Amino acid sequence: MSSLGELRTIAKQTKAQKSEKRAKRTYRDNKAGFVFMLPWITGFFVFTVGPMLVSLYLAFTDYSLLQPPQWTGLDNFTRMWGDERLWKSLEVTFIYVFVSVPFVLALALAVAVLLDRGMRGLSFYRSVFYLPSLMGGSVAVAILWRQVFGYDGIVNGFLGLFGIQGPGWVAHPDYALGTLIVLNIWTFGSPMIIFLAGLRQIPDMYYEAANVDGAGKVRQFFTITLPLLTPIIFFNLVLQTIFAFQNFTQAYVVSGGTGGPSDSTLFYTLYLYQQAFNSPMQMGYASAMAWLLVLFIGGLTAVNFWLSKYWVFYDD
Amino acid sequence: MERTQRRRTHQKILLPLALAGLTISACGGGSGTEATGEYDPDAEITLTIAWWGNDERVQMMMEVFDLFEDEHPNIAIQAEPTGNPEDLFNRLSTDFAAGGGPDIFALGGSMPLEYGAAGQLLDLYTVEDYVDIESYGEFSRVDATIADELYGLPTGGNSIGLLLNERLFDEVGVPLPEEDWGWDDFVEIAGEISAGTPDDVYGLDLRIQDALGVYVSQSTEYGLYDWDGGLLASEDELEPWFNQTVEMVENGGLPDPSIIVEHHNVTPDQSLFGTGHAAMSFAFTNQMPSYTAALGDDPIHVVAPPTDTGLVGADVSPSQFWSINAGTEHPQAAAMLMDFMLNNHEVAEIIKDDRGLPFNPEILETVQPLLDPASADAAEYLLQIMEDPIGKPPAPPGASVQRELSQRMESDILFGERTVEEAVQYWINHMEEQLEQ
Repeated sequence: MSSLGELRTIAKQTKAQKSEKRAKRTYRDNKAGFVFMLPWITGFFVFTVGPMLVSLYLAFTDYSLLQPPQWTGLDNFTRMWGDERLWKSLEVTFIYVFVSVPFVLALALAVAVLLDRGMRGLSFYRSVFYLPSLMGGSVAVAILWRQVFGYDGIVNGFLGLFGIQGPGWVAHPDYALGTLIVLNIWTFGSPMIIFLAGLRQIPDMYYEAANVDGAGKVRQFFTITLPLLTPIIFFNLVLQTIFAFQNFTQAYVVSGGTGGPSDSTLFYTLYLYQQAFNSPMQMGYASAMAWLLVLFIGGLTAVNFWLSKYWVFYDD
Repeated sequence: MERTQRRRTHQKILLPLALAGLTISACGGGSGTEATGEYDPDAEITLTIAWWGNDERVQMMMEVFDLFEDEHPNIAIQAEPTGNPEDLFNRLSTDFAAGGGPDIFALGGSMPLEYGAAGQLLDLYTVEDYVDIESYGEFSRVDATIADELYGLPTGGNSIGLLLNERLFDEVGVPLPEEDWGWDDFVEIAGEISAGTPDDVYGLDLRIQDALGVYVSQSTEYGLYDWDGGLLASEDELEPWFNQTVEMVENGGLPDPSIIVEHHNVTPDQSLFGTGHAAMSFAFTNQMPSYTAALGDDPIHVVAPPTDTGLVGADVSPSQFWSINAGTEHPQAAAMLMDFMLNNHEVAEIIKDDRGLPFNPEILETVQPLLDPASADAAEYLLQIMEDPIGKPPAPPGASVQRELSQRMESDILFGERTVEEAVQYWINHMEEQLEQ
C-alpha cells in the first residue's frame, strides 16, 4: 500500500518535472524565435508603430515643422467639417474606388479564366498581362499617361483619324478622373495572378461530373468556378479596395501635384500631402487627415468582412 | 577580474559617446540667431551647401567651389543640390524639425521671411565683417528683412516682362506693339495672331502666376499686398483680369481651356511659347536663356506689359537668396562662401545672370558684357525698370498659396465650375485667411 503510494508520488513528481522542463523548453524555443524576429520587431516599432503614435499626437496639434507643435485639442477635426476641399477629395476618392475596383476584378477574372484554358505560350501571356501592374504605380507610366491622354496625345491622334477633335483628357475636369480610373484598371495583373492560382485549386472532378450531367461551359462557370472562387474574389476585393484608397503617385504626377483641373483628381492622399508639404505646412492637420483615412479604410474593410458572410463560400 | 576590466572598457567608449550625443543635441536645439566665436583660418571646416537647379548649374557651382577651396585650403565644401525647389524646401523643413540642415542654402519667394520668423536663419548683420552687405541697395534687402535682421542676400534681380516671338508676329503681319498699348489692344492682337496662324498656334501663352501680380500693380501701385502683410488686391482688379481671360478664350487668342491647364506647370522648354506655339507670354526675365534655347532661331523680344493706367506694374525683385542656417557651427566661413559666390568677379564670370541679374553694381559691370543677345535684351529691360522702382512690399508669409490658388480659380472659371464673381470672392476670402495666420 505504502509502496504503491510512494510510486504514485514519484510518478507525479516526474510528471511535474517533465512539464516544467517542457515549459522551459518552449520558453527557450520562443526566445530563439524572438531573437530571429528582432530585426523585424525593431523596424516595426521604430519605423511603423512609433511614427504612428507620433502622428496620432500631432493630429491634435498645430505643427509647421519649423516650430514645436502646439496642442490645439480637437481643432483639426472640427476644421475638417468645414473644409469643402476635403469633402471634394473624399468624393473623388470614393468614385475612384467604387468605379475602378469592380472593373479591375472583373477584368482580372476574365483574363485569368481565358489563360487558365492551358493555351500555348501561357507563361508569355501571363507575363505580358502582369507587366502593367509592375509598372503602373511608377512615375514613368504616369508621365506616359499624361502624354497619351494629352491634347496632342495618341488618343486624340486616333480620334483625329475620324475627324474628331478631343479635348486634353487629363486637363479637363469631366475626363481627368476617368483617365486615372483607366490607368488603375490597366494594372489588373496582380489580382489576375492570384485568380489564376485560385482557378488551379478547383478540382477537375467537379467539371467532369458537370460534363457528365450535360452542363455547358457557362453554367459550369457560374455554378462551379464562381462559388469556389469566392474566397479569392473576397481577398482581391479587400486588397484592391485598400490599394485604391491609397493611390497617390498617379494622381500626383498626372495633375502635376495640383489635383486639378478644378480639383477633379484631388485624391484624399494628394490633398493630405498638399496640407503637409505645401506652404504653409500643416503637419498637424495632415496627421488628423491620415487618421481619418485609417478609420475609413478600417471601416470599409470591416463592412467587407461582414458582408462576406453572405456571399463567400468556403469549401472546407 | 577580467569582467570588471571589460566593463571599464565599455565605459571608456560609452562615456564620450554619450557626451558627444549631448553636444550634438545641444547644437541642434539651439536656435539663436547670433554668430558666436571667431573665424579660425587654421581650423579644418566642412561646409554643406544646398540649392536647386539643373545639371548646368551644378557644373557651374562645382567650378566656383574649386576656386573657393583653392583660396581657403582649410575649408571643404560638400554640395547637396536638388532638381527642383520643392524638393529642397521639403528637405530643409524636415531637417529643421530634426535640428540640422545644410550650413548655407538657396531660398526663394517669401521663404527667407517664413524661415527667418521661425528662427531658423542667421541674421547676416552678425557676420557683416565676412560678407559685403553694403553693396546691396535697401530695396534688394526688403524681401529678407524682419525688424532690422537680414535673413538672406539676393542672388540677383528678376522682373516680369512680356516675351514676343517676332517670327510669328511677322508671319501674321501684325506690327510689334508700341510702348503705350492698352489691354484692349493686347486682347485684340492675341485674337488676330491666333486667326492668322495654323490651328495649333495661338496669340498668348497665359501663365497667370507670372502675370496677375503685374496687372494688379498697375491699379493698386504696390501689387497684391500692402505693407502690413494684408491683401491689397480687390474685386476691382481681379474681376476685369479674369473677364479678360474669358474674352481671349472666346476670341481665340487663348487655346482651349484644357490646353491652358495642361501647360500650367510645365518648364519653359515645354510651354506653348517655348515650343513656338504661342506668340506672346509673360515670363521672368531670368528664364530668357531657357526660352532662347528652346526656340532656337526664333528671335525673342522683351517688352513691358500693356497698361491702361500708365503704370508698368512690373518691379525688379530678388529671384533667389542665399541664406545661412541659424544652427551652423561655422557662421563666419559660411558668410565667406556667400560673399565669394555673390561678390567675386572671377565667380561672376562663371555664374553670370544664372540666378538673375546681379544687384551688386560692380559685379553687374563685370557680367553685362558677357551676356548673350537675348539675356542682354532682358537685362536692358530690367535696368530700365530699375530706374523707376515701385518699391513693392515683400510677399508676406502665407502668400505662397497665391500661385496655386490663382491657377485653380482660373480653371474653375474656364470650365464653368464657378462664375468670375464667385471665383474672385473665393480667391479673396482664401487669401485673407492665409495671410491672417
